[in-house]
Amino acid sequence: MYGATTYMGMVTENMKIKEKLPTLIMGILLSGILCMPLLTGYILSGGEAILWLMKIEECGNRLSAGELPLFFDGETVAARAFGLMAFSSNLILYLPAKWYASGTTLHLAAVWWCALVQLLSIGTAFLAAGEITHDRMQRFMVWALYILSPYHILVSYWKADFAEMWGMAWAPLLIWGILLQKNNRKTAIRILGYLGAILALSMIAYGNAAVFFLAGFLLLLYCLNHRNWTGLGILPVSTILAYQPAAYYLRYVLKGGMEIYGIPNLLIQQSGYHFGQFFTSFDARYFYPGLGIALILGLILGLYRIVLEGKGRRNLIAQGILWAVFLFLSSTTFPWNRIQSLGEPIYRLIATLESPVLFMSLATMTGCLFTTYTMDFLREGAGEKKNLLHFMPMGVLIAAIFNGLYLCNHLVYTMEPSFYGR
Amino acid sequence: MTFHNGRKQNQTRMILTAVCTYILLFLACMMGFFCARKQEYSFDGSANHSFSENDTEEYLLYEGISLSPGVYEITLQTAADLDMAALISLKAETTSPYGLRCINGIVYQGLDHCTFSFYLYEKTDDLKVSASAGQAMTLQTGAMQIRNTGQLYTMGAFWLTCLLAITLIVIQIQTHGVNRQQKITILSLGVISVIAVLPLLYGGSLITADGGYHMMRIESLAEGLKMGQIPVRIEPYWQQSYGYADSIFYCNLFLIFPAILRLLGFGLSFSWNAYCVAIRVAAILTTYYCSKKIFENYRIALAVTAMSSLSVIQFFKGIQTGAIGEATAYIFLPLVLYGFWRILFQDTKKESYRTAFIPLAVGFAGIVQCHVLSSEISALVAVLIVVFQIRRLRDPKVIGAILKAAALAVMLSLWFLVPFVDYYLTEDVHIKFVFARTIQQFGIQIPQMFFHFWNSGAIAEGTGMYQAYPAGLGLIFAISLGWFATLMICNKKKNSPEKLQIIETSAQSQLQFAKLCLGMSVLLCIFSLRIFPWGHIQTWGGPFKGLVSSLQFPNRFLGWATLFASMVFGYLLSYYEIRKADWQKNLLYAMVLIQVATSSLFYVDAYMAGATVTHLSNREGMGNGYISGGEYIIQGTDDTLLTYNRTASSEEVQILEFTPGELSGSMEVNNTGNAEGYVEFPLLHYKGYRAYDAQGQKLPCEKGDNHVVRVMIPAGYKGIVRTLFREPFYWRIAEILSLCGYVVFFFLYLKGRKKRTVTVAEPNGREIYSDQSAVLRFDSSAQQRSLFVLCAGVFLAWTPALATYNISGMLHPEALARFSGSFQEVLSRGLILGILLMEGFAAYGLFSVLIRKTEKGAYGALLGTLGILLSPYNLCRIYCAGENPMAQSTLADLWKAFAWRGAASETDFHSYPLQLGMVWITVTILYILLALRKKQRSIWDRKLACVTCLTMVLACGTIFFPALLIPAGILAAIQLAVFTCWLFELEEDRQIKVWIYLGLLLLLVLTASMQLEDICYQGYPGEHGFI
Repeated sequence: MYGATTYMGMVTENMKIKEKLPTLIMGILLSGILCMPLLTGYILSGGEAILWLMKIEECGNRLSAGELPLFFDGETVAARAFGLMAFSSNLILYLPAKWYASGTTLHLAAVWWCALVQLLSIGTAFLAAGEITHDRMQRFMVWALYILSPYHILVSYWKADFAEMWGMAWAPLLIWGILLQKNNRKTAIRILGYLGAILALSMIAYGNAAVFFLAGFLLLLYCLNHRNWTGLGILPVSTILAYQPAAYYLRYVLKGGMEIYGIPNLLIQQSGYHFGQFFTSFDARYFYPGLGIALILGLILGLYRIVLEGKGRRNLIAQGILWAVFLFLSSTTFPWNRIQSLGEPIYRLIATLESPVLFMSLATMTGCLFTTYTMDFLREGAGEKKNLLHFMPMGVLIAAIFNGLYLCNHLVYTMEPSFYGR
Repeated sequence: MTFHNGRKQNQTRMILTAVCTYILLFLACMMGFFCARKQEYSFDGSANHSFSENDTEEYLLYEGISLSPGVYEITLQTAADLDMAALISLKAETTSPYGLRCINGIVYQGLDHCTFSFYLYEKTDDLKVSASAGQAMTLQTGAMQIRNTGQLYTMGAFWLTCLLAITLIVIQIQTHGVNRQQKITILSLGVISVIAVLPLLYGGSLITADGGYHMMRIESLAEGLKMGQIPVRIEPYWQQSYGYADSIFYCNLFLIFPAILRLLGFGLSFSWNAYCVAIRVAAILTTYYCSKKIFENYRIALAVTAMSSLSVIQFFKGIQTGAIGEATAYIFLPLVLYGFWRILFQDTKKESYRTAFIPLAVGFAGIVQCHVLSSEISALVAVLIVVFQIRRLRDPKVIGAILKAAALAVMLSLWFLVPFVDYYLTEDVHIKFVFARTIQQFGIQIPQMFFHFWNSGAIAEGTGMYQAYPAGLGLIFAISLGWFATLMICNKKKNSPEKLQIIETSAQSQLQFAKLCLGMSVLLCIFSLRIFPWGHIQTWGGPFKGLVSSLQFPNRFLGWATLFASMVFGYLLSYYEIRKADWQKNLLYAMVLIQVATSSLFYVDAYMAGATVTHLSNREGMGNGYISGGEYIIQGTDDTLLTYNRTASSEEVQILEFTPGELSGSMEVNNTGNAEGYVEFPLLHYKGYRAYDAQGQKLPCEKGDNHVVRVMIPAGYKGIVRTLFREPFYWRIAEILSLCGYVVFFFLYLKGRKKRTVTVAEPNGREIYSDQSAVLRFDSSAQQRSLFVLCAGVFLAWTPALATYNISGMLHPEALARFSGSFQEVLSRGLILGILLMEGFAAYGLFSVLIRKTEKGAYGALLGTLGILLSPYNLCRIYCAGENPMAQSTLADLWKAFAWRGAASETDFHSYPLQLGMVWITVTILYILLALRKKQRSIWDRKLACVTCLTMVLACGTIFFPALLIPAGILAAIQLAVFTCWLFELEEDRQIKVWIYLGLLLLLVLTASMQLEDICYQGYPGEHGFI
């Protein structure tokens, strides 16, 4: 497709503007796929859609009345049955609330907001991919695998968890900022990255304070592992910026007492994945989105690469182990209940994660990396041979596109519009 | 030498270390087992509860019980006035969600206690025991004992043994190394196995149609083994310990594995899942082994294994239905086929032909000993194979091999066949009276043969596909059969005397074998159809009535049909492998990937999204009264009267005491009368029960009321009467003969292995016959190929019309009403076919004229024609025309790539997929991407640019004017045709262009297939139809 020095369209040298255009066009089209369910003009009747619409409505009404608190009081939380959504601040819904208050329909306001968040997700993922790898096609692959992953699509539209969608939009920016510190870039760029990381972590806190602490913990581990001492500074600065949600959340975790507002306080281990549930692509039990056909193919090819080829296995094995760790954390086998039994604060802390399925988002991210690096190794191994292996990287990309497209089609066709607010 | 010695010493050291560690740990487990069994706890207490109707409350009986981890048996004294209405349940606060595993225990009216097991994996200080009932009844409870069975340690010992086995294998691999081919094989088989058993890895066992019955078989077999009955003939646990002759009629040889797991203490779900996994993996291994032997190429063998083992019928039978008898038979079908390959297609003059009969014998013996119905079908398949290859019977060695195979198979199965035949002839079992059962309505619809996605959950009652089940051959198999058939039709042989002299080369043998497989696959698919006149065959009476009725489901033929189709697929790979035709070979391998990724995984996902998964730890919660269709119970038995300890006697006989046993019992009786009396034991009477008095004298034993064991008591007799089940002596002789058969088999097997290691490799037929063109050669022009594919496309579009019912909305002109019933239907379908043919050939002709008569033109015309024929709009027009009119599109509709009919809501949904489809979107995107790279312009550039722009404008215009869809669709088809010509003019590598073209073709076919399937699955029968 692009000449003899490539593997099925994957060019590794720097390309001229004209040659970058196909990538740009593909990027726009894939972004369109992700936003497809929003093009209907309504919010689909996903798991938490009604609750989020109610929250936007409540925020809009409060805005119209003149004041919008950062967090709703206990009575409102109980009356509207917001549950764990109580730890998601109203700041993230300011825009749709404003639109709703100014006369837009509830659904349209929510659709526009979701579209903005998805575009943000697309942009930040693109930035992060650029820092993870400097190879243009690898970057495209990581980005495409991430935005079209079943987890990303299903959490946005099937579960309709706006807070998690928000978190998945900002997380790549955090990664971008961290990696900039590591990649020996110019000082100005590094400062920009630093600020971006702080912003991202803060925004994650405003979306879901529980996830903020999880992200902070992972950031800490990463910085310690890579001896990235400047990166450690992100944590306290973003905590200061996100002081209110962090304090609100910590107050509950340390002191408790909010159960009367209907906040569930459950053991989470039994709601983790069973092994077979990881390997779904086209449909899944609610709410256990699988890895998708592209990552499954990547896993198989990665195993093939590790088992058969000697060179360069170590990095791939390390990435594979990390992937496996996150999958394990999201499974029902990991002893979450035992950890929760260590004390009341820990019990509440983990209960606010709601389910180990949250770790599937991290598993998906590492899976995208693993798959991309596997494709690179396959390309090296196949050389100029035009056997099936030679075309596998394109095959994986096509699989990701079709899986994403199928899921979006499936959702649009089979889910009714949410009746609330129509 | 030193290096090898060093390696060997190292290996020996590692093995010794592993074995010694194992022995130590094993002894520790055994010590733990014996110590644990001493733990017994008694609790005193009593309670009396009256339950009302629909009472959901649980009444606490005991609490605060402290126990350490283990597998326990709890016995609670009970007295209930209603049978199987009250439940005893346990609860404990454990940190892990799996800390306590227990299903309720059932209280039986006839028993004075309720006993069941539970698994405690975490220490608890507050185990609670409570009772509940959903019906009005009274329950008295008394003392309770909890006994540690020690099975936690036996389970530990089992895992230890598995770990040892894995360690020894790893040591072996490390010492001797594994070459690249072996690594690929192990990895690939591993991946296939994981995919094959994915539904079993959801943390429990699936609730399936036959699962409960087979679990009962496992439980009863375990119980029988525990009481020392080897082999188990009458299973003691069924029907409240009345016993059931399930093992006589349904061989339980392979269920010994899960039964042993149960005896070791593993839970019911685990044992069941372990068995299902084992049979799936075993089927994969035998398929690989046999196909490697046939095709002599490990890659082809892997492809055939993937296609066969991950086919929908194996998932449907092994997983969705829980028909593990049939699923176990899938292990042996490849052996039977391989056996026939060796006997019928190999050179009889070769030394290796002496053992050619063994695979066939083992295969048949295996099938007979796991599923009798599969052996009926396999026997029919064997007869058909022999009939089709009758000319090979001219060689007496062939007849000899077949007879030897039959003899060995019978000998190996004698231990099962003799009791089976004995009971079938002498006992009036229910299965002999069910000839009225019809099967035709369970046949599959013709369209199902060409399905790809298997929407397993969409078969609602009232739809035309109701009772059709997600079973069929599959689109990829159909394409490969058609591909092979096309090769045969276009075959041209070169007449070369020296080459034709070589008769039995492996390549020629494979071809003949492939032809046989093609014919058999098609024939067996026909047998599985709803239109096949099974009902009519049953009216012939005699053995036909019984045999057809016993089949139950015509889809049982699909196991064999799929295997035959897999072999045809393997031949195609072999054919192109020899000719070094890379792109065809790669296309076939790509088809395997597409089959696995978009068919097998799609089906698994769709099925598991709605399947019920449950965890069954102990058996007691299942009850023991379920005997499925009760095929092996004595005809006329009322199973509602089969309750625990239900004894009876004639008027003059008093029962002073009754002690039940397993398939036995003893009574103290007193016959006060002057005539012979009787007593009846709570045991179902099958041939083999005997009775003795206190002195050991035999007493007459016969069938009593409700076919229970009745023992005649002589007048004036007072004393003990015992009854027990004893196998007739000739059953034992049959068992010994079978054992001898197994010894003979192993001897032959070892002898065969020894010979293989010393015999010089014989020349490969392929080396002698290097030019495949004399065997089979496909010479055709692009036009011919395109026309073939076009015909296939027309047929695909026609498949929904081949159902026995009319899909509501299907084209059915009023003018046809003047004709009578069936003729009307034939005309209707003919009309649709006519329209499709006209559309197809008219479009093809027009495109061919417009695009020039070149190779590219033919392919372009093909793609364009199929773009019209298989477009969402065209298919909807034909099959969904009678319903809602065109709905207005939205922006989202432009992106709706996979077209199907599902409409969730009338008010907000656009019911019909009126957009242009996935292929148009893909072509447009590809065009944009490739055009940007192109350096030199040609006339096709302008044409394509023009058509593309116009189509996009019209597509966007459909948002406002839906009627623009028709011209947009036509333009889109033209775009496809022009794109093809433009594509082949690009400067890129030819192979890449071919791949793009084939990819578009496959995409078109797959998306159309998805739509056609949905049309079939969701279409309600209209007014008319055949059946």
